[in-house]
Amino acid sequence: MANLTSADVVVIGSGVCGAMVAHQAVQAGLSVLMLEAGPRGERSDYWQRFMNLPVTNRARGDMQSPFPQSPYAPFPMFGNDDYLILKGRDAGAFRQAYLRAVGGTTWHWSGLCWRHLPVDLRLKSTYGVGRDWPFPYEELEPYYVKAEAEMGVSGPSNPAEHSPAQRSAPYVMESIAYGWADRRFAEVAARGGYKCVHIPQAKNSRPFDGRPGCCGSNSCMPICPIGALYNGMVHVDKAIAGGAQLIDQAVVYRIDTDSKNRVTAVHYYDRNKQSQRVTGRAFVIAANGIETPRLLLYAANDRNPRGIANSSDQVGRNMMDHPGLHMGCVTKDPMWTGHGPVQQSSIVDLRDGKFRSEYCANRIMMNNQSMATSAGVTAVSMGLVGKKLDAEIRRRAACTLDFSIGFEVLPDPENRLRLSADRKDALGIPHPEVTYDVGDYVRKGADAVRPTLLNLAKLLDATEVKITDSFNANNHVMGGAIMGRNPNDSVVDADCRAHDHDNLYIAGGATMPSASCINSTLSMVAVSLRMADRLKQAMKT
Amino acid sequence: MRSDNSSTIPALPSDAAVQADRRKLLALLLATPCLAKSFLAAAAEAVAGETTTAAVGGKFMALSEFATGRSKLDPEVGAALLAALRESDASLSTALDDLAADASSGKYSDVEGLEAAVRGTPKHAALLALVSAWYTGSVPVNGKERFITLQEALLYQPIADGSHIPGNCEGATNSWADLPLPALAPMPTER
Repeated sequence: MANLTSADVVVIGSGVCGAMVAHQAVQAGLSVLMLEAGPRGERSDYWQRFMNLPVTNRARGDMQSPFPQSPYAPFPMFGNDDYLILKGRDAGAFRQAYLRAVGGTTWHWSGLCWRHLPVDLRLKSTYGVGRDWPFPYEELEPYYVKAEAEMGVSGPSNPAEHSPAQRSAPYVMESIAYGWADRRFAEVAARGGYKCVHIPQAKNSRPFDGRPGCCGSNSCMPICPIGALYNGMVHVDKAIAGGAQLIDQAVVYRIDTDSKNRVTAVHYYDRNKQSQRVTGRAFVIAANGIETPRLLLYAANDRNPRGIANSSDQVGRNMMDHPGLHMGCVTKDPMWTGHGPVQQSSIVDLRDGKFRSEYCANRIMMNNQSMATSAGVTAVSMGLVGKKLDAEIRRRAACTLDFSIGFEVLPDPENRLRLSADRKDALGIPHPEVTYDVGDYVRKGADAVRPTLLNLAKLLDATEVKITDSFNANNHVMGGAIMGRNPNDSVVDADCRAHDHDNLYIAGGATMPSASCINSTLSMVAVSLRMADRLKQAMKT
Repeated sequence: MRSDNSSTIPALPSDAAVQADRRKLLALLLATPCLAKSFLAAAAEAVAGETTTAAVGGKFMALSEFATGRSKLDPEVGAALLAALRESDASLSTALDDLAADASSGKYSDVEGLEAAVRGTPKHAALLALVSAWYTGSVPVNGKERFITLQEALLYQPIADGSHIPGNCEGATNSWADLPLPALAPMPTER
């Protein structure tokens, strides 16, 4: 068992990827110490805070306010955030809403568990754009199966709905049933020749792993009230039950290396701003796609003056997300979104095709989030009273639809995270600063999808159709410590081990060389589980 | 097992001062209307200072019922909303008194008539602020929304047959699969 100053494996970050790696390591008999910058909170507290949010915050999609910050581990706040500094042509497309808390950002995720397509791992060799992964899909596939089993992913049993088709095992559970809106949307889409599929998601369609089935709170984001939606806490607690130690409010800021450039220790500020030192045999950084490169850059030392793991100058580069657009419309007939989970169905016909040599893939998803709150706030703001006000609330709540379109961005070294030159947090650590441009590949893809969106609106007999004209972020942070065979243009190797430090591993989205156009968490977890196997092997020798 | 070094963050003042495990939380979810009461009583006292339910009196509630077309408004919610409205704009007190007199004058059969009559006067803004407070359950005070109630926010009433407040459980898994689809009309009746 680990103590609080030393362990076989020191894991920095306790989100889903760090927690999975910690759990795997303790199962292999290794001592594990987890260091988490944020605080440990309880589901009931977070839920209470959500239920006490003003409806105006709810209507604007505030996912951050239910989660309190540690004074020494800031994260982007809802509204006027001044933590994550954004620059560049599409700065707004990188306005992320991640958490620094035990359990990580899966406290408020939608739970969608898509796999990359096999071709997503060989984008460069197939379409001449982006990068290839250093291993093929077939090597990742068993870890997708394992990730789905660990998280409890419900999905369609009908193979025609599988995306990709290449699966070696069925989903753990059948999909959660559609509500009215998704059922109706799937019917309408089919009339237009579009295939709408149940989204695989880490939500229980029956009791599983000691957690209940979904109760349809329709509040997956920001908080599932009962834990039917998987989050990183599941594996934090499993790791602790297996003997791992967890220190929360421990902000790692320094990384020591020896003459062979092996990591020997990390230093953290505790909740009282006192510096503490932890030694280990191996170290895993799993601190989110933004905080991981921020730490690597800030922890530069004499031997690694550009930053830890940064001899290639690739740390902080190739920042990715899924740039998004939204289409809003009002249907003639009521749809009544809001029954069941917040996101249930998607059109994935355009995840792949020869067009990807020219422009990006996309995924079209109908949001099943309840429109009740935003309908009410909008109707009130119109200055209506009496029966007209009630009727307008009802019409908008029943008939408003929102579509979220996610695009595939390419890794671009110029999309870069740096340390701010002039802004520092309460510990004196520079804020992260990201320069971001989604690129012409995405802009062309956005132009290409518009006719499809308008056709869907027409099929729905919708009016007030509006497609947003600037890209939004989707909180699927990838890149920043990208994986590759060549130490000159990547940060970690195929095992997610730093090229520069043979006992330093990086888990999570930071290592992913391609984004695809679908939610990234399952791929992040699968890559992390694969990394954990390699770590366990290395620890034996 | 939890590490000795982990900590529990403080909860906000809330509907229920409990540290619930999942089972307790489920019970909590089923009991939300009761929870709202205890919070509102505290909120009304904290926000309004000396303003109590009794002190609010019937005038504000009568105006509120006329302005919202509801007959079952919660006086504790009313006390908290009134206190927040007064704090948001000191001039609202006079305008609300004037509106209360208008509403009780018998000149107007409904709020639509009152709204049309007071357009272009300070009473119009006060009327809309009052309606907004009851419908959203919150009031902007010093540039920030002050939360008063969610469960009693009237915006959820016109859609009660087709929707629920997100965060509250709807029912057993997949119970929503075969629910009938409500038409746009008629409206659900008042709770």
